[in-house]
Amino acid sequence: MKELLEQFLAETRELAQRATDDLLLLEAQPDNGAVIDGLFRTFHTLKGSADIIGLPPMSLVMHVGEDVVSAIRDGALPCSPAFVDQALKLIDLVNDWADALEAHGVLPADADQVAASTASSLRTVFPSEQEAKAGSSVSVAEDDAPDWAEAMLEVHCQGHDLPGDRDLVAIAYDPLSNAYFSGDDPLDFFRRLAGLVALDVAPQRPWPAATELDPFECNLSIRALALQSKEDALAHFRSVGDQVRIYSLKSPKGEKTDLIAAVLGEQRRLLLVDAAPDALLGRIGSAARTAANALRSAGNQLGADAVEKAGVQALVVRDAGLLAEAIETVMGGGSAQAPVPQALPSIAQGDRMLRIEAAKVDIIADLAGELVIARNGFAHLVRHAEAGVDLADLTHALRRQYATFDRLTAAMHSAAMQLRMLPLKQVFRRFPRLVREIDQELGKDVELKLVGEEVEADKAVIEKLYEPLLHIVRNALDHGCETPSERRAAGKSARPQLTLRALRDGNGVRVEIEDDGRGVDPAVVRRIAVARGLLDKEAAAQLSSEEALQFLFVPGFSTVSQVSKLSGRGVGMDAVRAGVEELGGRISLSSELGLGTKVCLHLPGSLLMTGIMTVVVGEEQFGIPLDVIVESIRAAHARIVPIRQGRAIVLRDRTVPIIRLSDRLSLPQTPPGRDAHIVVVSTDSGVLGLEVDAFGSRMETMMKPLDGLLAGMENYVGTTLLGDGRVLLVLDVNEVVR
Amino acid sequence: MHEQRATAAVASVLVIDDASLVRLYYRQLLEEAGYKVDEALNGVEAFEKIAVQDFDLLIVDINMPKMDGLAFLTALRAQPAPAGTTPALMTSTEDRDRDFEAARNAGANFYLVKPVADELLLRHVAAMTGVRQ
Repeated sequence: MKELLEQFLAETRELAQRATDDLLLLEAQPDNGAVIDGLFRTFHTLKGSADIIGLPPMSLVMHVGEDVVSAIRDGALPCSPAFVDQALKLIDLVNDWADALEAHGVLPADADQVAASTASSLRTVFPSEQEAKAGSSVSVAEDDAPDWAEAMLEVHCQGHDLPGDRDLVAIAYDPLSNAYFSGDDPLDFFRRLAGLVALDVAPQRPWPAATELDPFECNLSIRALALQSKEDALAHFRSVGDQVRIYSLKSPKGEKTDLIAAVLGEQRRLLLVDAAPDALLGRIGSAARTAANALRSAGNQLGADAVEKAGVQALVVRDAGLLAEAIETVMGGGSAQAPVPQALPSIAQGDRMLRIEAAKVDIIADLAGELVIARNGFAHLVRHAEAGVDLADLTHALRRQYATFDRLTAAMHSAAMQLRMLPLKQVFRRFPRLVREIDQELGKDVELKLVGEEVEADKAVIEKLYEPLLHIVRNALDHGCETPSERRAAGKSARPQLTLRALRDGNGVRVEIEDDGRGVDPAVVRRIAVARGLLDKEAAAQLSSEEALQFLFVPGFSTVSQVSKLSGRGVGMDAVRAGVEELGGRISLSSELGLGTKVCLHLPGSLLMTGIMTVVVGEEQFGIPLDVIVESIRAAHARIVPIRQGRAIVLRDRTVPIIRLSDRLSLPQTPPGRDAHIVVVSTDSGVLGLEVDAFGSRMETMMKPLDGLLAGMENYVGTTLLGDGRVLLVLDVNEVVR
Repeated sequence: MHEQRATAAVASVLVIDDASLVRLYYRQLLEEAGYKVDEALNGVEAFEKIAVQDFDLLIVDINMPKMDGLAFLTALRAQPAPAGTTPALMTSTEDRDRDFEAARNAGANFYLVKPVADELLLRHVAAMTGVRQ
C-alpha cells in the first residue's frame, strides 16, 4: 500500500506539473491540438490513478476537468483564458491533496465539499447552450423516486446503514442498442461512479434465442443507487444524458445509526452528571461497557477499543470527563456505524522518491560488472604470489591492478553522484506559471525565457534553489521591469524580457536571472547606504558603481522606499544571499542603469564531495578547491616580472598577476625556494596566480562548511579532515584575492 | 436475525420487574433471539442473583415493591466491578423528562418507555450487549 501511494504521489506531482506546462502553453497557443491532446491524456491519467488509489473527490474533479478538455479537443468549446484559470486552480487543488496525502495519509476533511465546488466552477466554463447540448438533457426527475428504487434500497441496503447526511440518487440507464458502437461502455460508467451502493443489471427486452442473438447489440437495462449529489451524477452521465434518468432519493435515515448514537449520547450525559463519589466507578465502568458494546454492535471495533481504553484511564484517575470526551470523539468522527477510516501509511518527508533516468542506472550496472572483473584480477595475482613470483613483477602487477580499481571506483563514485543530479528544469518549470500570476497583478506583460533547462545540478541544490530564485524573480518583476508606457517612453520594446538561464560552470552551475528593465542606480544605492548608516559619505563617494551595487546584499538594505505587495516582505537580497551561500554558492549582481540587471548565482554542482588540492605555506597546509584551479606551475623566479606595485607572470601570451598567499593570510614570509610554486586560479576578479611554498596532493573529500566558532572566519569556505586526522582549512579563493 | 442468534449465545440478561407477564414477555422475546435470560422480582432479589452470577445487561423496571429500580441502581453502582459496572436499561411507563433524569442520576445507561415494541427492545439489548447487528 505504501509503495502504491508513493508511486501515486510521484506520478501525480509529475502529471500536475506537465498539465501546468501544457496549460501555460495553451494560453499562448490556444489552437495547438497536440498540446490539447496531451492535456487530455494527463487529466485522464490523473483521474484513473485517483480511482485506483480510491480518492473519489479527486476522481470527481478530474473527471469534470477531462470533460471540459475533451469538449475543447472536439472543438465544442474554445480554449479560453477562463478555462486556463480554472484548470490551473484544479491542478493546485490536486497538488494540495497530494501534499495532504503525503503528510497525513488522508485527504483533508473538506475534500468532498471542495471537490464539489471545484467541479461546479469548472462546469461554468461550459456556456449554457453548450451545457444543454453536452448533456443537461439528463432527465432530472423531480417526481418521487420510482418503486424499483425503493425496492432496491430494501433488497440491497438492509443491514447496511447508509449515512443519513449524504445525498442518495437512483440512476436508471437504458443504453441505446448501438451503444458499443458509439464508444460508450455502459458498465464502465458505474465502475467509475463514486459512492455506488447497489447495482442491478437486467435485459431491456427478453433475450432472443441464442441463434438470433446479436452480441454487438446492447440490451442492458441498468439500475443503480449511489451516494452522490444529483448534480455530480448528472455530470457523470453527461455524455449519455438522453438515455439516463436520475432521481433524488431520501436516504433512509439509518435508524440503527441513530440508535447507536442515542445510546452513546446517553452515556456521555450519564458521565457528566455529578454523582455520589461511591457510585462514580460503577457509573464510569457501566458507561464504558455500554458505549463499547454499542460501538462493537455497530461494527466499529476501533471505536470500541478507544472507548474501553479511555474507560480504564477514567477509572484510574476517577475522572468521568475523560471517558465522556472519548465517546464524543468517536461520535464526532463521522457516523458511529462506519468503522474509523484506516489512514493510509504516511510517508516521511525525508524519503521522497527520486525519479532516475534509466541510462544513469545502466552506467552503474556496467561499472559494477567491470568491478567484478577487476576483482577477479586480484585472485589471479594471489595465485601468482603463492607460486612465488619475482617481487618486482608482483609489485608491478599490483600497481596496474590498483590503477584499474582507482579508475573504476572514481567512475562509480561519479556515476552515483550522477544519480543525484537533476535538470534545472525541475525548478525553472515552476516559473512560467508564477510569472504569469505576478504579471496579472502588475500588468507589465513580461516575456519569460528559460534557457539551459537541461543543465544538471545536485538534487539538494535543485530543491533549495526555488526560494532564492523566487525572490530574485519577484524583485526583477516588481522593481526591475517597467510598465509598457515607461518602456515606450524610454524607447524600448513594449514587453520586458526576463531570462532564467542555467550554464555549466566548471564543476558547478551558474544560474542567471537577467532583465532588460530600468537597472539599479548606483547613486541611489550610495545614498541609501549612507542614509542607513552603512557607510559614511566619503567612503560612499569612493565606491565604484560595481562596489556600490554589492550593498544590495547587505542586511537591512532595500532600495525601495515603499513596501510593495510582491517583494516587500522584509526579505531582501541579503536573505537571498544567505540562502545561496547555504547551498555553498555565491551571488553577484551587475546592472546597467536603464538597460537592465543581471543576478548570477554560482552554485556547486554537487554538495557532497569536493575535489581539493593541498598547498603548503610556511608550516601550514591549506586546501584549494579544484574547481577554481586552472593549473599549477613551477616557474623560475626570473619569469616573474614586477608590474607597477605587483608581480605577474606571462603564461601562454597571457599576463597573470601573482599574489603571495602568505601575504594574504598574514603569515610570515619564508625564504624563496629554487622555483616559484604558483597555483593559477579562476576567480570573480579574473585569472590569478597564487604563490605558495609547495604543492601537496589532490584529494576528493567531504567538505564541511564553517560553523560554530569558525562561522565568522573570512578567507575560508570550509574544513575537511586529512588522513592523519588533522583539520585542513579550505580557502575561499574569491575572498582571499579580494 | 439468524446472525444475531448465533453471536448472542453468550450474552446474559437479568430482567428485574415485579410483573410476571412482563418478565415472561421479555424472556420469550430475548430467548428466541438467542440471549440467556434470568429473572428477579425486585431489587433485593436482583442483588441476590448478581452476587452469584455476572450479567451482561440488566433490564430494570422503576416501579417495584421492596426496593424500586432507582434505589436498586443507585446501590448497584456503588458495588465493585463487575457487578457495579453492569450496563442497565431502565424501563418505565413514565415518560416525563424528570423520570429520564432520575434514571440517569441513579446510573441507568439507557431509558425506554413501556410498552416497548419487540424490535426496539431487541435492538437496544443488542446494542448494549455488543451483539453485532
